[in-house]
Amino acid sequence: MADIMTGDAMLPGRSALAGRAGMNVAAPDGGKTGLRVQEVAHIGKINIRGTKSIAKVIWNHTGCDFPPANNMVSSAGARHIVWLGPDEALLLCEAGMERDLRRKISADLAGQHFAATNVTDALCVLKVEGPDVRAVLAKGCALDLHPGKFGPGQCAQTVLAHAGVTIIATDENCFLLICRTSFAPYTLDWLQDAALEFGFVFQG
Amino acid sequence: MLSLPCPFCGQRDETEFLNAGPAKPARPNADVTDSKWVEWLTVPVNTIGYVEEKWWHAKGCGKWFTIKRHTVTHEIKMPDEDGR
Repeated sequence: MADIMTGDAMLPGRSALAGRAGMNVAAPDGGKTGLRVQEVAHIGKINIRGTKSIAKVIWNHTGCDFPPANNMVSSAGARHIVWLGPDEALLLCEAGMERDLRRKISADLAGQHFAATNVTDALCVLKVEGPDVRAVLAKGCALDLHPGKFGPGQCAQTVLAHAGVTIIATDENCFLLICRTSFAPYTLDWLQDAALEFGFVFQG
Repeated sequence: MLSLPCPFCGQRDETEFLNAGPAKPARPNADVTDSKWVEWLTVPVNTIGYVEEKWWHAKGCGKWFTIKRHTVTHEIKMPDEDGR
């Protein structure tokens, strides 16, 4: 019980979209599939609240540099820092490493005003990619998704079809979509519906 | 639909924000007259022109900020640097 209270418990996990196969829709023109969606299951997520100076300690700790500007992501290997807000960042790390990392960060910052929370199971990460990914996302999102305005390395917290999401551009036609776990089935259904005209593949 | 300038995220769509009402003038001192107090507390100013409003980037970065919005044209300006 004590482990559960501190967020350090090792509980058997079932990913948010497990068992949701069989949703594929062929492209109507028989061409390339416009949108491919994959759940990045169990990737570690730690939410960090604190001033920039505290965050810098953490960023050094993970091997990532400070993101160069607001709403940007910095990466070092499998670890990414998503700068969410004036005093908030989301740390993505290898699956299974989040408990250890959170404990180390908390120990480093003991006595300072901060919060590091393991939110691995609260959030679901979807990798959405394909030639029509920007057109699909633009159907439910007011953000300017032109490649010149929202390119690789940029991130934004916004609303996608009424659901709060964090969008990270990892490549020209590849995004990470972070939504609440409870919203994951809805988001997936919406993506499938929005991608009917382009073709849709969900790789569990 | 408004497009609002979030100090952290930049220009964003109104759907990401919650309006938190007018930025009120400072609360009067304790020795204020009753009429002045009631006026501050309950009388809404229905200006034609620029009003100061608080907005919360609720579905974005979570930042609270104040803007000046023209009630007729919806033109938006950032308030002067007065610490608010």
